[in-house]
Amino acid sequence: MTAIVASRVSAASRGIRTSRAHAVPCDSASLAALQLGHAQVTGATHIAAGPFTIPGTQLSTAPLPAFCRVRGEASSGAGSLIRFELWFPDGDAWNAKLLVTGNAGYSPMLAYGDMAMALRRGYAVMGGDTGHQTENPDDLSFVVGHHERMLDWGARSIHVITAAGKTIGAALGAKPVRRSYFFGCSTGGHQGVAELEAYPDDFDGVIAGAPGNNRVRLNAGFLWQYRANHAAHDDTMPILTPASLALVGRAVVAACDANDGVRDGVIDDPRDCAWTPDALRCADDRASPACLSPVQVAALKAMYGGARNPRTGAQIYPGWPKGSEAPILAPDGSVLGGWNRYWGTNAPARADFWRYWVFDDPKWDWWSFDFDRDLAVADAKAGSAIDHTSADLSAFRRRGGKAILYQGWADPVVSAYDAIAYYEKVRAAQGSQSATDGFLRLFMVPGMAHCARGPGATNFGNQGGDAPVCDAEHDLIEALDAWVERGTAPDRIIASRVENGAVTRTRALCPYPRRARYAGRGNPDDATSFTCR
Amino acid sequence: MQIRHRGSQLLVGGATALALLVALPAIGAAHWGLTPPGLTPAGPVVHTKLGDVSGTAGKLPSVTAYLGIPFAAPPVGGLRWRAPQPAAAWKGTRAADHFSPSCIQGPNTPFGPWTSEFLLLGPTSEDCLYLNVWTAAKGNARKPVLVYIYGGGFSSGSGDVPVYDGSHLAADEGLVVVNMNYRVGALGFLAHPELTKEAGASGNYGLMDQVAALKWVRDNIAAFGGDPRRVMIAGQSAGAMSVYLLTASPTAKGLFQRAAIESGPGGLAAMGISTGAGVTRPRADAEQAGVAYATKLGASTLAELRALPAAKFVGGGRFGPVVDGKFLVEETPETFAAGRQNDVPTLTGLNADEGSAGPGYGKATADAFRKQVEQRYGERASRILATYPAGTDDEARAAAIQSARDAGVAGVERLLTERAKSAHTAAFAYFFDRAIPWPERPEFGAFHTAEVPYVFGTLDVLKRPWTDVDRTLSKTMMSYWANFAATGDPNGAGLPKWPAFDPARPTLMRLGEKVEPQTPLPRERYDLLTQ
Repeated sequence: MTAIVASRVSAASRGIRTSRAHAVPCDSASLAALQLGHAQVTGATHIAAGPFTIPGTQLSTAPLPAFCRVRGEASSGAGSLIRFELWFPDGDAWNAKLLVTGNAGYSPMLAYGDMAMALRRGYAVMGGDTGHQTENPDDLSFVVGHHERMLDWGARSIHVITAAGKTIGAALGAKPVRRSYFFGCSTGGHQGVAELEAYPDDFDGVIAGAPGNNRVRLNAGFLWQYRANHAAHDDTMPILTPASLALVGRAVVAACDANDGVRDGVIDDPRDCAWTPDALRCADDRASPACLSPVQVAALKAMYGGARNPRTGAQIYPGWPKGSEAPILAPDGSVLGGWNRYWGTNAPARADFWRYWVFDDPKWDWWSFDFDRDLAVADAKAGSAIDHTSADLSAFRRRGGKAILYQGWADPVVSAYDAIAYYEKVRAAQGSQSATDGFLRLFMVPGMAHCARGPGATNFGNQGGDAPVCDAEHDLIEALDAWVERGTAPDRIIASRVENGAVTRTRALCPYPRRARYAGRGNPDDATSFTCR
Repeated sequence: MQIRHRGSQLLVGGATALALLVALPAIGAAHWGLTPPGLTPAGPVVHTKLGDVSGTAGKLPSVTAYLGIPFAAPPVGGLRWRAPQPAAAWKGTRAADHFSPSCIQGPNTPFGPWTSEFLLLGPTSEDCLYLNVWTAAKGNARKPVLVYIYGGGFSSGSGDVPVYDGSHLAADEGLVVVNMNYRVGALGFLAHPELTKEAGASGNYGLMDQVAALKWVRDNIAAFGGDPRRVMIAGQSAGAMSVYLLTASPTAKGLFQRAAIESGPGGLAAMGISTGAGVTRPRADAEQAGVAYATKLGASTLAELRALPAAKFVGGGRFGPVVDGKFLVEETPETFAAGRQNDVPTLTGLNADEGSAGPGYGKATADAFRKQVEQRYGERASRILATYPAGTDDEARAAAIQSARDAGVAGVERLLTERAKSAHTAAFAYFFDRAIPWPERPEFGAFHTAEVPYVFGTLDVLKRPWTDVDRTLSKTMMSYWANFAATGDPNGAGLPKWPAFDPARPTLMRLGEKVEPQTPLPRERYDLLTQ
């Protein structure tokens, strides 16, 4: 289980640049001469094999094979500027495929870790800055006076750079890009879904994790959770502290872990969990670290319930599942996830979205937000630009495209229920499970937080690192490639739990709505003891 | 928060750690440069006494910034209004790659000359006792250390303010630059009889935080290439007052070897703030004010006060240093008169237009000026008005500005003259009169805080039509400050000679379009203004 992709890396590293008859060389002048339509190469540098330190940062990749690092600029129209990079492996290492990576949050930073991972496998890889160049990844004011940046951020930037990338890749490799894939999570997942919906011809295959494609409502969900977790107009103290959320997390797992037949600290399907916050209510309503006050119980119920329209009662965004509450701590004690990270601070997550993308008011007061009237304003102002929730993916299916969605059940950022709701909407539009299975599969990941990590088996080549075994049964990109190239659909993906570099558990991830069921015998830490049903 | 597989050939497992941070970094914060998935910090790891830290890229390629290092336990819950307690140690490597929240304070809204570059960036939290380090030092270098203490009236301020970025002083001048967050407002300075009963003193928590940070510097800065025996503390406005009080506090003895007081005690006479009473208040007064404040909040006991949410302590009173009997055992002028101060070389001065953020600055009428002088100078008013004639409104405008400048210069001269009676170390005084180029708002001139981006070399943080004069001046000031940190004397090769302060000929160095010693204030003016 610990065999890794070492052989691939060394094979790629051995690749020596050989001159091809018609390949455009890796130099700025030659590449700048390429006719790319709405894009232009601005520079190219040959990078020797080894760990690559991203210029302008103090961040390094794992060792890479030698490659050509191409930088360029693209535009989707007036006022638009999208910077991108394309990394092209030397010599014979190129597999004639292009993999485009998505972004994270509202940051212009490229997913260099993902690019490095796929480059090592022979892909030409690329990423863009979403069409804005601000230094601070939390600065959402970049759309002020620049509506085009809103459009670029969520969808168009990927479309535009992909077109350029296909031409550049073909020039450097002296042959056409035979396949193109998209790979992203979170905002990257959002971009992936946007591609399926709006630009179905761009990619033969798309991997979209934890898609934030229902973006206006996702941010409304954040706001709802924040307000539920604070006394009105008091931003200083969350009602549910990290300690109380840890308490809730333990209680939920204790109550529902065994529902799936395996006690492993992971709730395989929170929909089966009947636990309610009242179970933790302090006996005489006297606060204690071992129980919840009535105010905390009420806050917790509001957060499980999710955002609703106060007038119509309609669900705006679902609540977050049981099992996503508890803080996840890094070894250094810093908080990586959990509800407290997003809604336990003293300002709502993504307050700047409302300030700059919706209300154009730096002094906007989140306590004044009306989940009926103001949400309509948001839908009108930003929804058409950034939401990608159309159920009609038939154009992508017709062109033979394949897409893998994945979503952590313990994700405290994108609610697993929203990812499922979107999938079910697409399935309804397709008319049947089998029609949907033919081109789109959703893999729910028990015990996984946002895109990665968490108490479950969460390593399957999903973000920034290779799966422990790099084959179509264990790794997303390999699985997608097998589906596109050979028509071998992923009937399951084996996810690994890796602790201190060693695989301690494997589990099967199943295409929704199937779930991994324990056979009742066999090692519960081994995926072969589970079947998808 | 970095990937903990440094040195491994492949990023297996743990590589996926960081998706959510990048996807949704701490809310609204200036969390720049969180280590993204699949990448490892290439910067060096530094071993501190509490654990390892890895940094992030500074603003210049040679600089590494270590941001948000804890120097005290979070002062929350029962630790509210207590002396800072030791921070907990950690295992593994702490990614010191983003600023911590700032201490609890009201919203920082741009005001007058203080545009957003002078204000904090990120969110606030009661859990705020973290410091930041910028260094370009290599190996076992022992570079002089500049510890900067922010201003903000003891009610605001943060280490994440953009003009305080230490990258340029680190890269160009070889300093190791440190700043810390310290508690401000009621949470930093509340005095109350119950607190006094509990701990033997009350108030000054923000100043104690500064001392805790200086102890961290003493214990850890060598690991960042800094020399713990050459620590310069510098501050502006309330930060300058802090520096002044640190030179007087027995609790700060030995923790620093130079002091820079920018637009603080002395110079702030330009704004009518006197050196002693304007900086500290007696314990009894502060406690009385504290009780009144607590009552206003509806809290009758300390336990009730500690149970209130932190946001309740924004605004609602003026808080600042107290002669508490511990941090300060007496009024600071007394400390100096008796020679009990922490005697270190001192650099101090003021700006030409300290009061320009005020609504009436440069707009005085003859009447208004006369009233202002009568108010401020009482029986000296007629002599002041004779020295600064203001028969017409035009004259009054000039007189108001000149008399304020002279009062500030006289304040600096007096501070250093008094100091010289007991000090065994040199002092250097300046008068900064470069009006920041700002075509839209020329009236602010060389405003309060204007020198800070020159000292830090952070002019380009501000979008202003800088000229060669500004860049040369900034370079000169950076060198003066760095030389002073290194040796206790700002002078060095290629710089105009800055004479040490001599009470017999009290010269201030002009830092402006020209950099040269100024003619001292006429004796009779000094006497008149400092009576």
